Amino acid sequence: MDCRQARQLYSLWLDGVLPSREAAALHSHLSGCGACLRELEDWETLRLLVQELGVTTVSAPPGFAAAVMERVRCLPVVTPGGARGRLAGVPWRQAAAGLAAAALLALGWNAVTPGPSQPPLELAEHRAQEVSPSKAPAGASETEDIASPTSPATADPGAAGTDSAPRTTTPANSGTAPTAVKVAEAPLSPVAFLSKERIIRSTMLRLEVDNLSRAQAEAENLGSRFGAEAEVAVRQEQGEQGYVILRFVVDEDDAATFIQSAAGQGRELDRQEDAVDVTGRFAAAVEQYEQLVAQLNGPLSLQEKEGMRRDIAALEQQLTQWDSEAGRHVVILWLQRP
Amino acid sequence: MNNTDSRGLVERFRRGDWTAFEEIVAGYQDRVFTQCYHLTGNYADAQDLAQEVFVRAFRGLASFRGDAELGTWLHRIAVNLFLNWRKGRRTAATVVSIDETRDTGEGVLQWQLAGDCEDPTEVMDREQRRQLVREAIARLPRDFRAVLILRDMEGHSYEDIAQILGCSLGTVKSRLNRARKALRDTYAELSSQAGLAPWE
Repeated sequence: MDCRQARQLYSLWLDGVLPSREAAALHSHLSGCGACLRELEDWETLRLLVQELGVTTVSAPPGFAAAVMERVRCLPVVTPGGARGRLAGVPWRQAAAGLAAAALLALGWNAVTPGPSQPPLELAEHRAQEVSPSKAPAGASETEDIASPTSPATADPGAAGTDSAPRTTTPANSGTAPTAVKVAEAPLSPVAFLSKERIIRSTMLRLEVDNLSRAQAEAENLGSRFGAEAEVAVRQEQGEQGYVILRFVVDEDDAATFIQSAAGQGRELDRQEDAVDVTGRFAAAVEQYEQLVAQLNGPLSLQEKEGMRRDIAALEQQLTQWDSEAGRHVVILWLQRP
Repeated sequence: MNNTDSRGLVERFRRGDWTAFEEIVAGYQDRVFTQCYHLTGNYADAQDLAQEVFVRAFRGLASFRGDAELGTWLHRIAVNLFLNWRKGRRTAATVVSIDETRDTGEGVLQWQLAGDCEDPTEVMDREQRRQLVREAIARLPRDFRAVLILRDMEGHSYEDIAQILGCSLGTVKSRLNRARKALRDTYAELSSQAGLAPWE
């Protein structure tokens, strides 16, 4: 066991959950490595200090509960009994859609695709459900959230030493029922990603249009002319509030022309531009991804492996998406009725 | 508030009694506030986050399945909201001087009391280290901060953390390991800047 391998076991050791075989191996390494022993002691010192911080309790300020109730009284009144009330102030769906649109700009699908244990998002009035990036939610009611991932890129052709185990990946938007990534029984090797700067530039354009369906179709045609497939993030068509949010990825050289053409479809209400440097996050996600793949090939229960495979697939999808979008331009087109 | 009480309140809310939600807020506000304070590292952001937690809870309570204890569900909302917290919010810890009174005027902070027999200089030194740890935690990426707080501050098991974060056990283990390493490195750097030997 080398020092790098030893360090990966520190947490489990400190928490007393390291399996006995690895514990013995770590103990043996620590017996002969003063540097690792000191570092582990540092970790333990910090763990205790952090524990001490947890002793701090904080009371909510006077009036906190009243302030919460004041806020919830302004929310759309969808009581458990089903009665509906008029929205107060700015329609919260628009505010929520704006929040989702902003999240889509910078972070991609993972920011707004709910996981199995997350509470319902503001956008969706349907119940919290397990939604993987490759699966459409079942039972979506009047608010339809469709997370359609971009086609996953293959391993970087410049990467050396990639000995990928045979895997089958259902391509996105194949028209068939989407499935999770299948992983062969052979040991899994991680997809290799180049280490480089990754900046994702984006523009959110909000337009008022008379006919949502027609505007969406025109936008999709426009996207096709630029080689960009439209991905529907949110569609809300019932009731007074109707909007649809589409996501495109175009070449940076085409972005200005595309945006100008799209803007001509309706009355421009809002435009926001952003550039997000995901280099650091990408590197951290790669490290986590590689670590998970390494752990997957270790002695784990079936349940742990299943969960880990889902996480690996989600990470791989996010990394592939960031990789393909860095250096290009993401356009979020938000079409809404007057 | 125990589980039976909270289940009763959820049922009342589902039947249209909104005063039940008011009771839920009253019953859980301190617990949620403390969690939000730990996550954000400062009182003002904790106030915003805690309020948002209850607003989200209000929207989702009708469909709350009761498979987790209500407090755990609220905690899950808090952590997930924190992880997706909007840019521009203050996330740096407000380092509170040991000389400040406990009552800030906005709420009451209950510090760990020094033992009667402890050397004051040792108390000062330990408090100084705690402040550095708070600052180091505040500098970590949010996903690292969340997992550290859940495990080391709040004492959740790995399984509970996986449930709260909606990820696998393996992810919790690897993330916690990386978070602790990052904390160690950051703390060492801050200690050095402060002219302190970090590990004495």
